[in-house]
Amino acid sequence: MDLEEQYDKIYRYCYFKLHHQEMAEDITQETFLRFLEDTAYCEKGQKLRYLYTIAHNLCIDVYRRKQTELLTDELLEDDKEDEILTGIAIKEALLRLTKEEQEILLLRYVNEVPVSDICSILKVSRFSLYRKTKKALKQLQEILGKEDF
Amino acid sequence: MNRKLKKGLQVAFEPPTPTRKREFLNAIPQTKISNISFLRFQSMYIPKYVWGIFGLVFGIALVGGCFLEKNVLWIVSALIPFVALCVITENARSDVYLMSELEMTARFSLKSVLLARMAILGLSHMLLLIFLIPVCAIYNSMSIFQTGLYLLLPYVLTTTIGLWAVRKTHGMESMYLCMGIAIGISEMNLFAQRIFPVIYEMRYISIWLIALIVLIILFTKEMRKNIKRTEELAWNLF
Repeated sequence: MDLEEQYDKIYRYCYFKLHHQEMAEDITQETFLRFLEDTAYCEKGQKLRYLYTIAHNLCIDVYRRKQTELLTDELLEDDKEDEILTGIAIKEALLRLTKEEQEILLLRYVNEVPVSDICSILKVSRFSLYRKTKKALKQLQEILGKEDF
Repeated sequence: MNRKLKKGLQVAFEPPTPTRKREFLNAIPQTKISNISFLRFQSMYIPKYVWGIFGLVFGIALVGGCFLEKNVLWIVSALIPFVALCVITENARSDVYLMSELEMTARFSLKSVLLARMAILGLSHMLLLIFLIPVCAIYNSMSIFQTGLYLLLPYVLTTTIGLWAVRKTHGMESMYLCMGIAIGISEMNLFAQRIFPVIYEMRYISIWLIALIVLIILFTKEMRKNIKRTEELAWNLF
């Protein structure tokens, strides 16, 4: 496993969950430390699934603790800085999807996590994931189509 | 998925650049396995019969060509499809024994394992051919180039058809089909040499060469398709 590549992917995943750079980086590092502690598990394979599960659980812990102070300001600031037109259009379209649909698209098409691992992380069946992905993509394309994407 | 949309998604989900990544990655010890060790470990998993066939062809060429001083070209070219068969059976082994699902969850991906084994077999077969071509050319009226063509063509033909067959059929059936293909090509080789020796004349060399080039292109395509097939079937329930 390429730790550097996975670091970026886990960090992107944590940032998506928390919308806070510092916190996302802390959680990413905590994820890797916990992951590397348990080498016995790593040898059995399914490392990626394990890594995402740790990140997912840690993000939930943080979210529960800091629910009152969600840092949406940083996200808005980022939007302003984003100079790429397609990125902005898709970012806005993504906001109209549910959080779960966004997560599926992130894991499947951005972080390129295998389907079986996504099912395990999100605790859904392959059939359900297939339907949700199709629905999310269709919705996204409809929204983007309206904006002449 | 639309490439533009995929690119757009990547941009949309792009987080700010991490600030402490390098320090963190430098601080943690990483246990890596070198490519050479990986190949060494994989070579141990190649079945003994593969090396047995390799040894048999090598032995026949050595004894017949070097010690008995006979023309071994036709025997060797008839045996070459069986050497090629080893590549195909090794490529399809996890599929034949229904182990693909299990191997997908292993430490190394099925793709990297197969590529490593193909690299080992490809290299060993290349060394075998480097030895066989001059040995077969010594007691033959043909040039080294011609001999090389007559040995390479059945090899590439068997692997190309065999790879196509394992992609189209599954389980033990594909193994039997590949054996049939290897036997067929071997027989065809002997048959052509006895009934139509004219096709081995120098004037037809360009046709052999074109056929070899076409087969190499088809082999590359088949190999690519087979490697792609080893990646997890995204929606294999449908």
